[in-house]
Amino acid sequence: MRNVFIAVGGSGTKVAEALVRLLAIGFPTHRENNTLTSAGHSLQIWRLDPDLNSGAAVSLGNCLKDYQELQGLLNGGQHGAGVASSRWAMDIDTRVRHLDPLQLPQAASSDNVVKNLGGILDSRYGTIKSSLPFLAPFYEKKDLEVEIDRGFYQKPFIGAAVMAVFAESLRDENSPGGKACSLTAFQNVSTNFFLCGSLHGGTGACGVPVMGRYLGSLKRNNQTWDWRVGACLLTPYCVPPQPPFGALREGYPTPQQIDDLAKEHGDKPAFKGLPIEDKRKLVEQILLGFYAEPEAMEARARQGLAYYRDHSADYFDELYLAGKPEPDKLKVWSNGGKSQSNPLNSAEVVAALGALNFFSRAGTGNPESYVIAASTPDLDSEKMSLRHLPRYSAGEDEIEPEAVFLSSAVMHHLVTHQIPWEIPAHGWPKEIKRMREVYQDNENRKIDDWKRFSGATALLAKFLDTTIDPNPEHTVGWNGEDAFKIRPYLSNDPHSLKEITAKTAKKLMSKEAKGELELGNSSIRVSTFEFGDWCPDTADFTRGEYLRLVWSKLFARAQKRLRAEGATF
Amino acid sequence: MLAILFQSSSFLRMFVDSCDEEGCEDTALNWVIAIIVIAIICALLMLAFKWLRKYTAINIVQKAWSRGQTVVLILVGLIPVVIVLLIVWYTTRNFFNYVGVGGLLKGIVMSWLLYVLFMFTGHLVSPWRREMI
Repeated sequence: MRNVFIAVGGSGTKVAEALVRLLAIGFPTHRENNTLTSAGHSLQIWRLDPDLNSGAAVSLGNCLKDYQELQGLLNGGQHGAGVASSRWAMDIDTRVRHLDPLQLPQAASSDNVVKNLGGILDSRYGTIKSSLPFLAPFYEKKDLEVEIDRGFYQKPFIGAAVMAVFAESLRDENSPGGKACSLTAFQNVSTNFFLCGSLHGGTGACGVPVMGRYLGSLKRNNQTWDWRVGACLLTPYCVPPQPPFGALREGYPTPQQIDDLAKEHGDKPAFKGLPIEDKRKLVEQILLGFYAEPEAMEARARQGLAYYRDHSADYFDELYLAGKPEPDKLKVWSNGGKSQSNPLNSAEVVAALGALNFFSRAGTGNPESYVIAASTPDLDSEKMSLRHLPRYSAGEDEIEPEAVFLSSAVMHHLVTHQIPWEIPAHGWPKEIKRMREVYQDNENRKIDDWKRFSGATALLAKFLDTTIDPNPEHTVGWNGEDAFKIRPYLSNDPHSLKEITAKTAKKLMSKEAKGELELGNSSIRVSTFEFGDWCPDTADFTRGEYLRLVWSKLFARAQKRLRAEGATF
Repeated sequence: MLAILFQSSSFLRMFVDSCDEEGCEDTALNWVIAIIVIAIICALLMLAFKWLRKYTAINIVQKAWSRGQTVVLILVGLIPVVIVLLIVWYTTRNFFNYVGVGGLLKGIVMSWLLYVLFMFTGHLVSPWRREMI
């Protein structure tokens, strides 16, 4: 099954990062040979954003590098160029397709060159006269002149026009956008397209409906292609702080005003590292009101929802909404570019789970009706736990995110610390006989696997920890309890090892474990003797296959200690 | 053959310092028998210790013994061999008087060799041979 995640704007890009993290951690999408897995399916990430070098894009790129390294350590050596592939998790094409909505086809060399709304809608090439009279009723002069190569400043009325031109250009395979998408490769191929962006932002609010409509209409015209188009719309879940100074009430700023403010605020994070000319541009943008206004977010989201209801929802097979009743307050103000590097938000993880639900083709119920799933009333969205995350379905199985985290963490511990790697395999005891048989005549393979498992589990630990780490540099919206409880499973600390080893110790006269390994409301009871029996059926398994088998067995043993609190998609 | 070797006076006399008096060969034979019995008992005890450690191991890592661990176990078993031999030698008047210090040292070496041989054999005839080879 092919999956395409279309990240629209900064929020969509953060959700793409969350999705990659969840897949790396082991979240499954289907059952294959009686094993829950995401391996065997593929994912492409498209990024629709004029801000090519945003902090979110950099963060996604780093995350994909780690994913590629993880998959490389776990595969059997064969994978396509640029595709992070192993039997542990989904194949991801690590080359993010950047769909720049400002890269538009040119009818002449002067067409669509200037990167502002005026430059696109009023480019006046050849004998084409000015279209300003048509634009004047809708836009002010400053709207047409502001540079839009770092986003649309949460002004959908600017972005929508650009996105509409861009979507139209996709019909031509030779246009920059058409080349990047190369949709002909998806004809007659079962594909899940999932779009994600904010309802209240600039790029997301206009990009998701425009792209959704484009893909939806293609699908309608080609019913045999087995395409599904879904989207997750993010309602306000975090609010930026106010800019360092306010906008002018009316008129344009003077050069002196701009210079003074650029000098005064030049060292602040949003300005730091920018050349003086860019600092001046940023000051001018703020003075003219081109920045995200936290107070208007809710109203914009409401308008966005109304738009979907009236004009856009029909193009989607499924629409998910994710947000927070009380948005988290970001600490650093930025107006786009590399300085806009927000930590991963728990709402973005919820949206990524929506994508997984969609990719698993589970559906949310009756397609003709709304499904109003919601979090529990006592949820503090600023301090979430894994048990608050929504469950989703993969085939017949209900996937509890907390149990997935626990299974991966326990797997990390078992593979790292409960296999006698230091001892030649032929000397392994009968309790790990099947693995012994695989390695006993191939000590070099064992040593190589040991080295690569160590590298892979270290990366897995990084993914597990930094996805829920309450450190505001990494994430926002977690209460930290789960991160605190999961760390011993990922640790080499002798005290933690002793404690976990005691719980995985077998009872005197049986193989059953003495204790339970816990995380939040989930627990797993497994002894290392039971773990020792687990081995793929054929000897030529890859490291990824082995990890997936262990994970799947652990997940099957995961129990709920208390009543589930999270919602279900 | 072994019995003949044990009973041959030249072999037995190796383990006593002075064999001028009558009946010293009986003392030497008793000393050699003590050497063999002590080596067997110590080997059995060390093998039983290993079995117990493995049986009560709470996880696979504890259950898996490396060659190094096994060698250490065998070497540690040499100590009780010496101690028991010393006690038997010192508390038996004939051994102390006729076997002497030279015979004791030869007995220790002999007992060690036998103990190591029994330990190796014990491993080789059990599934633990994987840990040795």
